[in-house]
Amino acid sequence: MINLEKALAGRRILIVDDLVEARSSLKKMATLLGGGKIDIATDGIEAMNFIHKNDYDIVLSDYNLGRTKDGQQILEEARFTERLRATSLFIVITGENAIDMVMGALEYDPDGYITKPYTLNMLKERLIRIITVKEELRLVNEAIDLQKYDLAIKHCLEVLDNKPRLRLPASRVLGQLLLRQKKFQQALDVYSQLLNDRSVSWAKLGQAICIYKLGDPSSALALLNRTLVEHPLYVQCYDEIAKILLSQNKPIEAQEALEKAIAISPKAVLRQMELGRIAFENGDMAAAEPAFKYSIRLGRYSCHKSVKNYLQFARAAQTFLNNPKERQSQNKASEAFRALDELKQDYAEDQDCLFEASIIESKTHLNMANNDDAKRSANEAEQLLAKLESPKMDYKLQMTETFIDTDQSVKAQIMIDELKDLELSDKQKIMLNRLDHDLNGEALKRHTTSLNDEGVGHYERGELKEAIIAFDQATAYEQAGISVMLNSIQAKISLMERDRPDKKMLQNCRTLLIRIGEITKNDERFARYARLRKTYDRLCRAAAE
Amino acid sequence: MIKQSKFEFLVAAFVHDLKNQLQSLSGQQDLLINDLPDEYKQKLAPMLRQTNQIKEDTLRLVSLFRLEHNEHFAMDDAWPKDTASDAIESCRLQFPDLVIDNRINSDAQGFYNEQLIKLALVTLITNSAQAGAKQVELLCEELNNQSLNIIIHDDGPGFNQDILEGLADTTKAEGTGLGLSFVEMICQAHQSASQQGQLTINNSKAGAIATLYLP
Repeated sequence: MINLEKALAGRRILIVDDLVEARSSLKKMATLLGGGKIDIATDGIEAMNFIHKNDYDIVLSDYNLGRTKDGQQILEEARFTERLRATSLFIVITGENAIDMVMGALEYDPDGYITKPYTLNMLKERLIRIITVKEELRLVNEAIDLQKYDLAIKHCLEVLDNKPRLRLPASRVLGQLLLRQKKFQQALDVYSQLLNDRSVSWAKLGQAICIYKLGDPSSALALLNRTLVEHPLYVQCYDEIAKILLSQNKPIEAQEALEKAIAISPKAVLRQMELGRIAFENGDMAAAEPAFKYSIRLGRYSCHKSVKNYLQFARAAQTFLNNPKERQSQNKASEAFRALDELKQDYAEDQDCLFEASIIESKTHLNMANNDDAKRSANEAEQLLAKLESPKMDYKLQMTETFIDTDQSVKAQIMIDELKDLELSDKQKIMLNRLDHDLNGEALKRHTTSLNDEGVGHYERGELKEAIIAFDQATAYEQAGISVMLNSIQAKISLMERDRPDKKMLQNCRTLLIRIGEITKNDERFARYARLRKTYDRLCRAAAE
Repeated sequence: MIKQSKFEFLVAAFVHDLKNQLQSLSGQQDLLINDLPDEYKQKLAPMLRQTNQIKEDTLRLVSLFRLEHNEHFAMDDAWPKDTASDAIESCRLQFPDLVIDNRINSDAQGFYNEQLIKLALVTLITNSAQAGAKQVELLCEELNNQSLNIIIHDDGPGFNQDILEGLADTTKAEGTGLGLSFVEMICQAHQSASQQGQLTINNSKAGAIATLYLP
């Protein structure tokens, strides 16, 4: 056993607890046991700030830290960002409710647990125990810190040979090292040998990962599902199940697996991001939107903060902007704008990000029927695109779509012409064709409108025959609206009233009336329609006489 | 798996909630008592003891429920001396006059669910105290391949013959009779490939002996 006072002397220690009494009592005890340089953090965010700033030898963190990250998440982030050496200790302090604790990730295991309430003596005994084990694995951890993984594996094997009492921690590290080095068969052997004697969930998970990597996804899935029956809180099994299902092209089932994991452990940002990504691909915005929202919130003060979360959240939110007059749509639009504002502020130097944010901003304005604002955001995007040195094809396609949406057909047409000469993926070609088609639809609408305007001009000047020619051209397009058709009927009836009823012209009016179909009394065009219909009937009778 | 009725489910949820609330209440009382002058501490101590007792009981109920439903309890490397220290700490508040001697070797190592074994030890120490023991000692024997015996030996009146013969669960008038069954269930939840944990009880010349075998 180690000498605790010596082991703690000169070590830098971080204590994390949200309860003031708990952290001051722990600090007092740690000082009495020989700890010198001790920092105190009151929540997960402060703890991560300390960990980013200083190199700690020991972190003692409470598991339950209220609303922010829990102790396990601090550990995962500290190790993920490589701010905590393998030789450093991370100890999780749990309440008596540890029975409900959610298991962390396979590769991020704390060095030990201490259960509250504890006395000075109990803390001392636990620390001696944990530090002794860590010391026995020192060579392994030093090699890991130097990224000499094969050397670490060698040391691990030596520990397994010489120190049978360390079989569990040594097997755990060895399994992870072999997985990292993609030595799946050897890792599988380590896990399987251990499982012959000891039923440990992490070894089952490791075994399943190896089996999958060695090409047997069905057996891996069966093993993961069995492990979950025995240990329903082992959420990382769901993550692996989702990965395997995705590889089997079963995205809906993969989403369901992640949803189960999130129901148990909603604070894991990477899991929320993966759920958002898969749900978005599945077109399930009702699931994608909250997942990205959580990802933004959880990632805000973490190493997992990502531009994608903000953009995808705002994109997913568009689905809910059905009615600009409804409060629900207004609230959702506000949330999307807030996310985009935060993004623009936090990533002000990232031109790509600003461009994408402006595009989504434009879409949000459009969905909220703010056409002028939509156009303004589109123009911002246009300026940002121009500044990009080699913009992605997808950006140009997004810009084209935004030009069409904001009635800037000329700019859209130029962009389409430019894109037609470039090399595009099949997916991009499909998108370009759709945009081209949309733009033509727009042009057609504009053409019909201009013919109608021309007809109205002739009509007002009493040039009925010229008006009829223009209206006939306009109504020749099936996209022609009801008002254009009523104009055409009106011009023809006026001509027939002035001159005489004409059977061919009446037939023509009849075809248009059929195209118009029923107009309800509430429709503002009803009075005009009824009047024309009455005159038409009268002219029909006159023609028959 | 045992089929669960709606009532059972409701009870389980209620007890689970109760356990969390008591945990919080007990924590708050602890803090409050620390801030008080000694004379008030003495007066409030029984209240804290009772809260602690109810908390321990609900924790036992939750564990019992989970054991009955074969729910998962993670096993890991554990050191009986530390587990025993935790159990003794929990009991000290309840039975301040009971002398509890942790004579377990620091090196002894096992593979078990520490929370469950701690509960088992607390239950057995409580039984000893309630039976009238003045002193309890905890020992440990390491057997081959990390299996071990944890032994609780007291100086009380010993187990009644009916209990030793399995004819009764308790001799205490107010006892639930669940104590020993609970400890037995905890032992049995510990299994290796070929063996199952077990509880054995017997009497020595000077009191009762309970042995937890953990494979």
